Amino acid sequence: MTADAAVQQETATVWTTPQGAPARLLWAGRRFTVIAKPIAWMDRISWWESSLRVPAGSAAAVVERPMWQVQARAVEDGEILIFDLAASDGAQWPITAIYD
Amino acid sequence: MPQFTHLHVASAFSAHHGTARPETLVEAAADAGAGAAAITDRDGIYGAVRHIRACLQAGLAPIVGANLRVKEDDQFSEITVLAHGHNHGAGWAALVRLISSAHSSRRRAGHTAHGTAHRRAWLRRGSPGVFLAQEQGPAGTVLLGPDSDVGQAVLAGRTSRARDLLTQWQQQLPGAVALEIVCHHTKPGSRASLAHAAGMLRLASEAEAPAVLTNAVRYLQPDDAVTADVLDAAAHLLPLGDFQPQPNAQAWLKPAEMMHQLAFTVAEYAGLPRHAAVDLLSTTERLADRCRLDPQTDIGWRRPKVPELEIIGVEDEPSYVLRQRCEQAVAERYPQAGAAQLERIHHRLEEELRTIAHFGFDTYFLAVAETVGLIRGMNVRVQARGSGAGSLVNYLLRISNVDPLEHDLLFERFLGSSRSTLPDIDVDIESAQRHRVYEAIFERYGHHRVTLLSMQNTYRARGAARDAGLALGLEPEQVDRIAESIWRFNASEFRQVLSSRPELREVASLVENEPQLEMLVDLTERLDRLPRHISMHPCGVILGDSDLLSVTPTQPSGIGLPMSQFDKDDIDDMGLLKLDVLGVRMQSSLAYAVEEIARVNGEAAAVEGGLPVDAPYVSADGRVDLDALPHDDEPTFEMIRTTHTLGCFQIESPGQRELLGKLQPDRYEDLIADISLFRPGPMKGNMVTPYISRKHGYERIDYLHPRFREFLQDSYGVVIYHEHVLRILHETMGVSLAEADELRRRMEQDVDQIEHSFRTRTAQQFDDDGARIFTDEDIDRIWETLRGFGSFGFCKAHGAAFALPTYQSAWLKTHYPVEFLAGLLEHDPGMYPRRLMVSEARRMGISLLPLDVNVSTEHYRVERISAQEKGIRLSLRDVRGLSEAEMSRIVEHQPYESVTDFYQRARLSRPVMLRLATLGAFDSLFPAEAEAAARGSIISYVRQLTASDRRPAAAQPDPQQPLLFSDAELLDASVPDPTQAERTAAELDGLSTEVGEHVVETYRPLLEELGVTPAADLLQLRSNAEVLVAGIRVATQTPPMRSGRRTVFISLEDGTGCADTAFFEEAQQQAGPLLFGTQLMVVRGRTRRTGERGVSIQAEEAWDLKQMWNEWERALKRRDAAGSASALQWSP
Repeated sequence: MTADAAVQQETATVWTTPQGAPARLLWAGRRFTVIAKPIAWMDRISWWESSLRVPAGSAAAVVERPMWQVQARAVEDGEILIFDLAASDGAQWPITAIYD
Repeated sequence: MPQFTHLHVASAFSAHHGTARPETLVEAAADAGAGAAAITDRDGIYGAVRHIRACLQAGLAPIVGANLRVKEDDQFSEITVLAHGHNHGAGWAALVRLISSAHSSRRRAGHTAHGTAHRRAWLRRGSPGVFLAQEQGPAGTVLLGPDSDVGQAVLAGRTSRARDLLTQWQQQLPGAVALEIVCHHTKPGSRASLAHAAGMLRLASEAEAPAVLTNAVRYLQPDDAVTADVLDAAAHLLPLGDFQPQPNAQAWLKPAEMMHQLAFTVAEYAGLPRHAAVDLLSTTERLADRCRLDPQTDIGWRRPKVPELEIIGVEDEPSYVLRQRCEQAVAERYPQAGAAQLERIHHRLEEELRTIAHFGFDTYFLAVAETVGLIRGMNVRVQARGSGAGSLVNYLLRISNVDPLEHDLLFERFLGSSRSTLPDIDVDIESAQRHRVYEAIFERYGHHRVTLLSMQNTYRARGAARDAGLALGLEPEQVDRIAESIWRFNASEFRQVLSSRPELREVASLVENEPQLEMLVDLTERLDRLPRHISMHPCGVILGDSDLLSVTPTQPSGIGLPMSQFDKDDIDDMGLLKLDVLGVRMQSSLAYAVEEIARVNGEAAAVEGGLPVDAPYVSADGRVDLDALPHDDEPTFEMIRTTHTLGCFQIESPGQRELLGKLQPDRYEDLIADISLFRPGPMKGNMVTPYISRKHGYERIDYLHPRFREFLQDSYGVVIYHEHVLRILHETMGVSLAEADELRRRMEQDVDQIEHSFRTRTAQQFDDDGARIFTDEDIDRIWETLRGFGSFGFCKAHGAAFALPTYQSAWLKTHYPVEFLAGLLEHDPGMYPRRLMVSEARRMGISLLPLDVNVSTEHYRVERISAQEKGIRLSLRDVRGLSEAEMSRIVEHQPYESVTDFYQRARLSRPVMLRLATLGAFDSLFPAEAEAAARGSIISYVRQLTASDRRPAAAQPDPQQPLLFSDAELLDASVPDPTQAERTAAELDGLSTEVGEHVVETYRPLLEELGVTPAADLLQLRSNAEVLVAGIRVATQTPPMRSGRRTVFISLEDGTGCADTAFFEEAQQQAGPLLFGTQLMVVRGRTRRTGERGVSIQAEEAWDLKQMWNEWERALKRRDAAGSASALQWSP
């Protein structure tokens, strides 16, 4: 991954609830606590830009990926931001959008 | 198990939107334990009949609706309308009429956007109320979902507007409006997101309006979302990434548990109590119950809906009328019949009428007769095709012109005893008159009783690969290259055939190296057989009663007349009567030739045709009655035996010509046999060889049993026809012919299943003396034959119906070759390009008169050149780029005095002027003796004349005013004439056919050096001689073969005739991509004699002639360069 791509694809370190929803996150050195019920949603993937095979019957996971939209407050300064996070296996979750 | 009924489900019949067939969706609903299943396709009920059929099979209640667009102040929104059931069809009728109104023809105006993403149909906002609100209560419910105007307002946060809009809907349709809650878990804040769904549910709760949950389904499972993406690209005609794609893959037929969970999630997010979710689910089921249709009482499932008696002019009991008409016709049809034959005729008629009455089809036959009479009254050629030719009633009613008694055809093959749906009577008419005939049928029965049938065009491999390529944004050239190598296989087998087909070899190696092409293969397979668009069926006309437009929705067809949303697989279940009125170009060619014969020859027609002056089938003014020709004209058979049958109906293909060469027909029954033998069944059943051997006396004729002798006469004892099998079973087993047809159908499924009953029943046949008629040996022998026959036979009535135009066209080609060829050029009826017919005319020594602006018209006309000779004047119609209007202007202002005169009055564009000059259309405007009037000078002159400043503007010079100089004086004689090769190229370019010289002549020097054999000389070669042939491809066929292996037949035409080459497996490997992609070819192979007049070439190797030519020319240049260099060395 190039430096540019790394910047574009920002990630957050995410701590989840036992059910898997984000509860706290660390982004750009700032700590955030989720303050409203997170909303699960599904985002689409531009699968045709990949070089994946898409044979009938086995491409269910190619088109979409699970996302969370969370409202979180910065622990240090109280700023409230909305994050779109792509649910991931590890603790590093890609951030696809941030709104204030 | 929780219950949930999906009320909003688009099937694949929402073209370029849905991905699952109705049957699959119903099966899934049944598996999920649903009690009902709904289909709500876009803009229509194209899949509804299949859906209902599947529901009946699965024991589910069918629900039918449609998703429709609403237009208000130039803004579009969507609603889904569901028909209510159990109201004696009120719901169905209202839905049907509402849909038709959305397609009303004025909708077309003003639309310019291409692609199915731009839907054409739309409703006015008030329409649903007009159609659905009825005195007995609403006939259907309107669902207002996320894309409705209400849903759009909710999404925009305009709550009070949403509420107003909802109120308006409720006012126009009290008690039949529901909010449709859809949550696809899209990005928060967008359409069909959780928040959007919750907002809708909150609105329902506040307004106390009913709400139902759906999943706005467009596919069966998440995996299909990829297919849906590709369909969206095809609908937008844009690559993926260039338009807003679907938001995710949630629009699938989710199981009940998930839908229940969804209800609770939405209610919770909306801040509503749990019982709001419970209400939502129970309202959904209540609405489902209200919309359950009863196929019998709501749709009249399988109940015939034929025109009312009075409308077909029947004032009495139809069976009585039918009998009367038939009996009256006996004397007309059989004027010469003696007492014995009359008795046979009446006996047969009795039996047919009894069967027809038994099924209650009298009205149907009368309606068909009425329609055929209507067509004949328009002076249009009309002829029945198919098994209907086996009916004496059809012959007497003049529906068919084939005499079933003459050819021993059986009624039982057409209408057996177990049929419950209306039989198909198909009629062929002149293609050029088809629209006129359709209009007349609409006029005759009324626009509320008639509509055209539609058909669903589905994705085949080639189209699928093109659209998949488009979706992936591949280079058009690359997609073209791949698509052109695709030859007749199912898209779903793409990956499999990729490794086995030689013509795909290059594609396969591309695929290996490019991941995008791997994807293309996957996507192509996904599209296999999905409906892509609906169009008018080529021949189906639906005739109904005055309620027809409450039974089927209609929409405008390509020719303006309305077409049904149902296709041929739907109409039996809908109880609709279909007439197949097929436009056949050959019928137009026949009619045209007959016109030309009368016009050109007049009262001398019989003599011109080499016929007796008192021939009863030629009228005094020269009109030939083709349907009255005697069937034993020896000159016609002689012509057929030469195999020079290009242009003749059914017998012009390479394979057919090969068969004719072997079979050498000399009687009409041979012609029927020839046509019947050239079918997959008889080919596989190896019926050809014994027929030929016996006919020519190489093999003894064996009738299997003395009792079969009479009815096996027509085929020298070879069992070919279904009719033969019926008679054999009738004789041996003692069953009726109708039962025999049932047995024959069962034999087609599994021949051995009737063996036991065949043997026992046949052994029990005794003659008057009590002796067995069939010995055990007889039975063994007959069974062996029947078993071998299996499903391979052909219906003789089909063959006999085909043979009629075959014979008629061969007769015309024999007696009136010039007029017949003119008919062929005029209507282009055959399998070959027109240029081959031009070539055939050249071969036959028929003069083709050049294009001439003073004589040529819209038609290919026969012209008398001298007392002895007639020729065909080329038509303006095939000049490339010449519009209909320009052509009319040319003809209207004929004759012209000069090119300038022509340019001023016919007012053509410059490119067309130049093209006409290049084609020599102005040559006759210059005096032949004028030295300068050569083609090159004329072209150059026209180029100057049409230079922009000379263009005739609005103010035209007075044509009366004499021109200062005549055109001829202005010609520049120094301009060189085009070479013959240049002329040929110009003709090919301008007319799509070459007139003066064959295209292959351009390559003559190379062909001479190679030692290529002209097609006409092949007959003189011994068998198995090595030979090179060259020519332009005129036909490619992969006909059924006995071995089941694919053989590719390519016919190359070189001006002297056709060389028919056969590529077996090895040669296919060698030829690879040349097999289907190359026009001009050189083929090396060995000759194979196929009978007295037949020869074909077993190909071994093939080359692209153009490519070969280029390489040869390069080599020549190198040689020349080398030669001159060496010459320099030699100089002192």
